[in-house]
Formats: sequence, C-alpha cells, structure tokens
Amino acid sequence: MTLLSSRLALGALDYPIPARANRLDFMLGALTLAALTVLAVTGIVLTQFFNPSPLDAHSSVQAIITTMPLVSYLRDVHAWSASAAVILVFAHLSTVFWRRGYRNPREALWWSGVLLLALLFGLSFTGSVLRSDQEAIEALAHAVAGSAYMGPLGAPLQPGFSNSAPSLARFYAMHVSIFPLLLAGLLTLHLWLIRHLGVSASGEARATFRSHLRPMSAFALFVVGVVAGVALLWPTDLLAPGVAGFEVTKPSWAFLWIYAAENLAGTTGMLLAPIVLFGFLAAVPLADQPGSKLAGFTRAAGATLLTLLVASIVYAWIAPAQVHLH
Amino acid sequence: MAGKTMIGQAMAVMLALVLGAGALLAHGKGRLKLASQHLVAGGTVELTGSEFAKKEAFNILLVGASGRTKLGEVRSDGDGKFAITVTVPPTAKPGSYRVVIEAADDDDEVANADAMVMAGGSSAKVAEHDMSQHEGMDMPSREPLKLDRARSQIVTGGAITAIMLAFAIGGVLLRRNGRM
Repeated sequence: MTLLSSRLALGALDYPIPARANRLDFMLGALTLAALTVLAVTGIVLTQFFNPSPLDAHSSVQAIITTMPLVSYLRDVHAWSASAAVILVFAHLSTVFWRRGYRNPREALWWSGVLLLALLFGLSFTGSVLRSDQEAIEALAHAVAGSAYMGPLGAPLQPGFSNSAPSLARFYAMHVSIFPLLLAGLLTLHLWLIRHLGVSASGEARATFRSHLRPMSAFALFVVGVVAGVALLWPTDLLAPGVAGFEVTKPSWAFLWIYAAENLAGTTGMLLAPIVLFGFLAAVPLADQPGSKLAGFTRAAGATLLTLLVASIVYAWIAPAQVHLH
Repeated sequence: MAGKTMIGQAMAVMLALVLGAGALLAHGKGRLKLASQHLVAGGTVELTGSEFAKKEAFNILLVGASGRTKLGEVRSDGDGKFAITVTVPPTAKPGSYRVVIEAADDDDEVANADAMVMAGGSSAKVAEHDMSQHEGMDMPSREPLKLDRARSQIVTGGAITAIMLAFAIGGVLLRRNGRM
C-alpha cells in the first residue's frame, strides 16, 4: 500500500475531519454520489443500444428488453438508481438543512447543492422522456406547455426551436451530455468547498478523512446492492408507444408533487410548485442567519414544505389521472 | 434588510419571467394523426385532425433540416376536425421531419407529428421498424406492455453474486471500521 500511497498521493486523504462525520447522516451526500456513479456507468452502456430517433426510440427500448438480458438488467438498474438518487439527495438535503449546514461560510456550498438538485430533476425528467412511451409523450407535452410561459428560457424546449433536430434528439443531448457536464462541474465545486470549508459537524474529536472512506464505501456498496437487488426483482415497465394529444398516465413518483400542483391549479400550479421549492431552498441561507427573527420560521417552513411534498406525492399517487392540457 | 430585499427582487424576476415574459398560447392545441409516419418523397399521406379550434384555417407544413415547406391548407369543421391528403414534395430529402399544423392567422403552432421521409420509389416498410406496435393505437394506454423479457441465467446469477459480494464487502468494511 505504501507503493501506491506515495505514487497516488493518498496521504492527501489523511486530512482531519470531525469524528462525528463518521455517522451515516453525514454520508448521505456520498451515497447520492454513489447512485449517480451507477447511473453514469449504466447510462454509458445504454447509449450504445438506445436509438434517439423519434420513430425508433420506443422500438429500441423494446429491443433492449426483449433481446438483450444484460442491457435490459442494466436499464432496470439505471431506472432504480435514479429513484435511489432522488431519495438520497432529499435525505441529504434534509439533514444538512436541519443541522443548518448552510450558515456562514457554507452558503455557496448550499447553493451549489440546490443547483445540483435542480440538475438531478432535469436528468430524471429528460431520461423519462427518452422512452417515447405514453408516459414519456405526456411528460414532453407538459414540458412544452410549461415552456410556452417561460419566454426565452423556455424556447429550447419548444418543438420549433430547431428545424434540423427533433425534440427527442435534443432531450437526448441534454440527458447524456449537457446536464451530466453541468453536474460534473457543480459537483467539483461542491466537493472542493466541502474539502476546504470542512464538514459542518460539531465536536472537538477528530478523525482522518481516510477513516471516513471505509464506512462510506460500505454504505455505498449497500446502496448499490439494494438497487441491484430491487432491479432484479422489479424490472422497469415500458408502456405502449405514445399517442400525442392524450393524457392517461401520471408522471413518475419523483414528479408527482408537481402533478398534484397541476391538479389543483393547472399549468400555473405546475410552474409555481418548483419555483416555490427552489426559491425557498435558495433563500434559506439568506433568511436563516444567526440571531435573525426569520431563523426559527425558516426551519418551520422547511419542515412544512417537506411534509407538503411527501403529502402531495401520496395524494397524486392515489388520485385518478386527470386531463390538464387538452 | 439587504438580504430580504435581494430575496424579494429575485422572486419578482423569477415570477416575471414565468408569468409575464412568455407568450401565452393564442390557440388551443389539437391532435394530429398521420396515416403513416413513414413518408415517401413524391407520395401522399392522409392527415386527420381533431380537437382543433372550430371553423378555423390552418397551414400544413413539413419542417426539417432543409427548412419549412408548405404542404397545403385546411379548415376545421364545426367539431374542430379535418381530414386531408397532402403530397410530400418530390424534392424532399430523406430524413427526419415534423409535420406541423399552424394557425393561418398568426402562425402559432398548434399540433405536430414526427415523420420520416424516404427517397421516392422506396417502399413504405422500414425493415428494422416493427410496425405492429402501432396497430390499434388510436387510443393510448397506461398499461405496461406485456413483453417477453429476455432472460439469461448467467446475467441473473452474476447479478445475485455481485449483490451478495457488495453486501459482504460492505459488512467487512463496517466491521473493520468498528475495530479501529
């Protein structure tokens, strides 16, 4: 190990961190990264077998499922890893929020995390559109409808944005290159800031980061094991090829809170729900400052928002599918 | 106070972008169906429309990398429906296109459908594209397809082995961590 250690500068991993950081609730970000790594690896495999042409996308997914056992399994791992990433990132966000890990000097760390969350939702959405089944077509229609209200910001989501590249091809480019590149850049910033600002754990006792890697790797392996096991037991479905102009499905669970808002307030609700969530998250470091009157209110508001998020997902899961756009 | 002002300004900008800056939809959306999504240059295709604005004029365009070509005009009936057969220009280059329906009065796009143009003289059948998946597709379905999934004992066995290894190695790492 000394041979490798000196040549790979592994001694740099021996910097001190609070010993308290060796708990699971301080590793949720790393576990999210583990899920993202699984997504990247399985996604790279899938790019070799998925056809992003609008007329052939669905049949290429069908071919994967019916003729390629390994690629089909990796597709299931990819889909379940996406769900795991969303659950883990919200668990990470909740624990950081609760222990106020966004306070000075960690505001930029928090904001980079909020942007990473937005990118994760973007990746999840663009990925779900690629299947070109009924759920995907309806998701795309909702994106187009919402983007019509967003002026120049929404233009790239409009079908007429490019005459030479169909929407599906552009969503594919977002999913496999634009968003992953942005994610990689933001992650680098996020990890840099953690390294240099330190983990927001209290206590005087110290441990080395290298000692932190061992339990972190263990839990990461558990996450991978669980996702791989779930994918084996519950393969991902594919609906029939999408028929434009109808709404008979609901989005995947991670977007049901937006669907619930749309049930209640139409397209305006669909747009306002993410604005409220991300607006609140962005405002947290500014609102919750030591000694500020808003500090307690911010915490209560965050807990309320999280409860509403979960409740709206449950509501939308139970409620029958509704027609919003037609 | 500066922080609160910044929050207020940021939210005002976001709301303005979302609610005020965009062009609201001038026309409702319709449903467009092509008799076949595989078009032949110089050939014809039947288009049927439903749920469009009633008794309104629309332009039909073929939009692709080479530009926009008007295929014809149509007027919806009292139920917002239409049916028309249009001719694909013989000069249309093979490739991916969209058939677009635009409102005649303001060029607002109200419906579109993906299509593939093949060279004149081609048959409409594409060898690799399973047309049977489109049978009976007038009505959409939320039910998962009943697919004959590919299975492999090697893949399943390998996955189970990998899962067990992941848990085993994770357990060993945690135990070693506990002894530190």
